[in-house]
Amino acid sequence: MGKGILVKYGEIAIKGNNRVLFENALIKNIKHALRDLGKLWIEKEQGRLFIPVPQEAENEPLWMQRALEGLQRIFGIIGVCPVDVLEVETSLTFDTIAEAVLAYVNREYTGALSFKVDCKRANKKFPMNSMEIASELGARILEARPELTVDVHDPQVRIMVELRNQVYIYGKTLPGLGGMPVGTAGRAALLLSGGIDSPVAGWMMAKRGLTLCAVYFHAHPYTTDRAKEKVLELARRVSVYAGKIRVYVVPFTEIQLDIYEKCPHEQLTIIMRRIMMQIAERIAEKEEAQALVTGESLGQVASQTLASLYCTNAVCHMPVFRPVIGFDKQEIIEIAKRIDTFETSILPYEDCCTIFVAKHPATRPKLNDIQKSEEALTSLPEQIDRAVENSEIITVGV
Amino acid sequence: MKEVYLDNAATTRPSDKAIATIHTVLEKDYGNPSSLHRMGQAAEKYMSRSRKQLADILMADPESIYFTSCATESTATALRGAAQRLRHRGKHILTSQGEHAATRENLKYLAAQGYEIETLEQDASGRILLEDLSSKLRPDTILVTCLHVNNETGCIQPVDQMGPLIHEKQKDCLFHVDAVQSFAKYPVFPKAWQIDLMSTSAHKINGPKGIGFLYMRRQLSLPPLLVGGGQERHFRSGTENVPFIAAFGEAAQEMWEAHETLTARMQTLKEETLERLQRELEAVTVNGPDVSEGAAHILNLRIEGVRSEVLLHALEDYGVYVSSGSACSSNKPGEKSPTLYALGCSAQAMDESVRISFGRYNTEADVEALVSAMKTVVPMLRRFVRK
Repeated sequence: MGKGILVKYGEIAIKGNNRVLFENALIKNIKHALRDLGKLWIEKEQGRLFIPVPQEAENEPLWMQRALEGLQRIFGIIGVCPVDVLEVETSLTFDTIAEAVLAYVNREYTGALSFKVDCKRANKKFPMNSMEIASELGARILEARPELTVDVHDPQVRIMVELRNQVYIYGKTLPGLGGMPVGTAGRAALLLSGGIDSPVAGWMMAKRGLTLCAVYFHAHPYTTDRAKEKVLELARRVSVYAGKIRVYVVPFTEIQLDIYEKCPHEQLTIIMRRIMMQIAERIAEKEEAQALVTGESLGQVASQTLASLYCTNAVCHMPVFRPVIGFDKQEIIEIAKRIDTFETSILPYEDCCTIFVAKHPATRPKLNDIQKSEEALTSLPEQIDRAVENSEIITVGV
Repeated sequence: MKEVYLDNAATTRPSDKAIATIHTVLEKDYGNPSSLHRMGQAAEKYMSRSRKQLADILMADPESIYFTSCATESTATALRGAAQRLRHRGKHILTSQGEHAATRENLKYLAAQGYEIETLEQDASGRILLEDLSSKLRPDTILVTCLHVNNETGCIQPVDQMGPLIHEKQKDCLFHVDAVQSFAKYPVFPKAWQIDLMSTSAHKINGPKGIGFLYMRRQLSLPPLLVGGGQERHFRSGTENVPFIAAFGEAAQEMWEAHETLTARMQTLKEETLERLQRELEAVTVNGPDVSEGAAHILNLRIEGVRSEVLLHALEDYGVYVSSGSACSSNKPGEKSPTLYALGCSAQAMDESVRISFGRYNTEADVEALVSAMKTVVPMLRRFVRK
């Protein structure tokens, strides 16, 4: 009898002929995420993947713990189960299965618990049907462990026995994140600031299978290098889920000062964001990405009112994903805490310089006015070229 | 690009001798001083050598030196220990304005424990008024704690006169001095000046970070903060940091032997910096004491119209490192800079204040580099002020 982890995947099981692509992406992501845990042989079952504990894993409980933790951070998985596994051979008898199930129950459970046995029989070669197997196994367990009771409606312990290419026995399923395997939905450029919202937005879109690159605007000496380090750390934390991320650090001071000198102060933020979008789109094109992702949340600040978003959006040609648009701050914070970006986001390095923030920014800007103001920025096209060209590219999460 | 390090009040570059000493002890004499064998004895020798070097600088007994992990630990031990020891005599504690956070936070803790903390009045430069000290001392005053050289402005407190005054009026009152910015750079003689407790740190005098000592007058005994293996005569348990202790002694000795020439040189650099900056730039003013009065190594300037944090990052591009003294992320003026706040600076003035602090390795060329960088950067930054 062996041990391993049964991985249940959700949506990807229903993708028809594309299923193989999705499965392969998931397998690739699992192998990458668990690369420090030995050479993995991942077996496909219908709607499941099975990862046996590798031979070289010396400390099995430790391996199991680390592998489960890793799998719970991979998109596309809805549940992971530590399992006992029996090889299906021609000699496989009910007695052999019962023996293995009993061994599992004796090892895992003590005391007077209520239980139920559930059976799935994908392998139809086995002569008994799933109902028969479940009830017969229940009887065997009761016989051996008289202190246990059967409760088919609300058992404390649900023992699962799945007959597939192999027989899997398990009693608990740890939840996965759901979503789609990263790399199955295309590429997008995330506008990443040091705040709470944008890492969450990136995480949410990666959850839908997008591969991310990130764009960060750096205004040295007005923002500190620690702010840059902080953004890289945030990208690193998102990459735990989203895989490798290339972060573009865009030198933005020249453009910012130009806007500051030439445009009305209350429009400063909107104009700045419009230019950020254009730069992000240029970087997205370089990266062969087809969408932008931002952490905008409707009405959160002046630049995120509908009128402002309308102006910002008007420069974009690509779809702009704003997954937290309808979220309250608190809801975003909860996700940030769950994905472990919150503590980094609240480090106090961001926006140290307030000179670029108007005391009373426009909350209902008009696109015409903004476009007119932008006419003063006569060297903007070259400035954008320079900013894109001089971006520093840092890859995180290798 | 040449590095122009002008943030010596924050920390200093360890001297070659300090580094070599650490290396030797780590590599060869790594024994535990508590071990009975020869290796332990060799380690013990470094300890006593350092203790002697440090005590000599203070003109005090080696037995008065207790090694700690840093000045914050020294201060915490001194303040909490003194308060606990004398709690039956009284609960009144006197302190100056603009103390270092190590003192402030420990006093805050004591206040929460029911101690009464009272602050001394100061003059326009930040110096406490001796008459005020004299009038505020009460029979139940158990402790006076004072920063010798202010880390932000370089203001020097008259601790030499405070000790005798305190003990004349209240002979059992304890006097603690935070000498982090002065030890080995300027004369400090706790025995002669009637200082009971004194905190110091190695990394401000070209020694390593993570080592300090508490001077405690002989015959005085306070409850320890850390108990355990009973090291440092049961006053500070924990295996001694022998390499850093050894380096501390060497660095302090080097600094002290050169202190007169160094002070004179730093004073010249300081005066020259101010003079040239005021000549080249408009609206540059001194925060705190007059340049002729404050500590030679600290110069705190307000450069109007330039946020110090932005200036600091702009100077980085020229390899010049200074301090902004306050982080603009904090919105409460009292927290930005307690020292400047006590001097009556506005929030904006604090945001526009930079600290330039000199050390053993600074030369005329550094002043040149600073002034030349400032000449380029300041006018540029002044173009962009908040509308």
